[in-house]
Amino acid sequence: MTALLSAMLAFSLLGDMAPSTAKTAKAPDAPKASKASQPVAATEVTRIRSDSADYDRAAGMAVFEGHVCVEHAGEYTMNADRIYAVMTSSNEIGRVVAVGGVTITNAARVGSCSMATFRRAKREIEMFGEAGGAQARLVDGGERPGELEGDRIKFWLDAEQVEVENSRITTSEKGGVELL
Amino acid sequence: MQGRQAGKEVKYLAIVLAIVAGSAAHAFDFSAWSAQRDLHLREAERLRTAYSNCLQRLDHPAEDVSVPVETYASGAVRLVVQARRAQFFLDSGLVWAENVVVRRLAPDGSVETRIDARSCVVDRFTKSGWVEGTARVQHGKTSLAGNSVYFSSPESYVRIFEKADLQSEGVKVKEVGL
Repeated sequence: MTALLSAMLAFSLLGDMAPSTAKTAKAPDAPKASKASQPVAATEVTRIRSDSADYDRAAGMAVFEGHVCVEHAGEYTMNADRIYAVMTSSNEIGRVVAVGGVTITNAARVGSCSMATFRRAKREIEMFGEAGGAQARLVDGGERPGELEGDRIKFWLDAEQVEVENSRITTSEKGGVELL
Repeated sequence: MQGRQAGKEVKYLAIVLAIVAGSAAHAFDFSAWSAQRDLHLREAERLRTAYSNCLQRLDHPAEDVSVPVETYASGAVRLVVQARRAQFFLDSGLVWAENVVVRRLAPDGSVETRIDARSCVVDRFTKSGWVEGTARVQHGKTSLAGNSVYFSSPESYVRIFEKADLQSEGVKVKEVGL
């Protein structure tokens, strides 16, 4: 019963990427790009605030506890009771694991779940519901409102694809959901 | 109670799996790390108490002090503490300091880590310290700030007890149309 349902939604997770009509999602590793595009490096800052924290450089791990808030390059904020940040060899944040009362906000879109992960290199956020409890939930209150629940919801900051496990999806007439 | 405890353990296991998944090259032993963290917390409590004791024993501290705390086998300085005021306690091996800059240096002399602190005590034997008040740690493009901070130089470990704030810069590669 836990078969993976891949739902391709016109449920863009970045406000400036929201199209006016439904479209087929791009693969997460092949974001939309024009022929004249070229890669440009820019600096992005991740900031994590909390009541207390442990930073273990040797282990490549930082743990934040109490009223934890993650702000990533103005693209999303994540709040949780506890957050584990796994550092890369170059001492940048590589992965974030949030546990307990997790909320994720991106413009008009709000997600809630019991646990979530953010992989910086893949720009991928994965939300998990509680086993036998509340599912992960993603609500879009923007131009094309919609609501999505599932045991696991995965989305990418640079793509319009959302993967949902054991899903329940609600959209408005303008939502334009495409299921595969 | 047992069910709740079991639930917590499952949750922690899930956390560990989530952290490790997709990163086989970086195996991580969470239980060992947690045990090590408990040791650090005890050491932090010891140093917090030592800080208070040092304050009570202060007697004409020296001014504009620079103290090498740790060296490499080659003799090059690895950890140095600079302070506007400082006092050595020879019986305990503690150094109390105010308006402090702690630098951890690479073998070539470049600064790996810098800690700015209002007031602290450093144990010359354990190479660990307690910062009273605000502190800021800069390591590469990552900075960590907060109040009431414990640090261990040999284990590259920092614990912030109040108002933790970490900022990490990274390079983002994105497609831009011409």
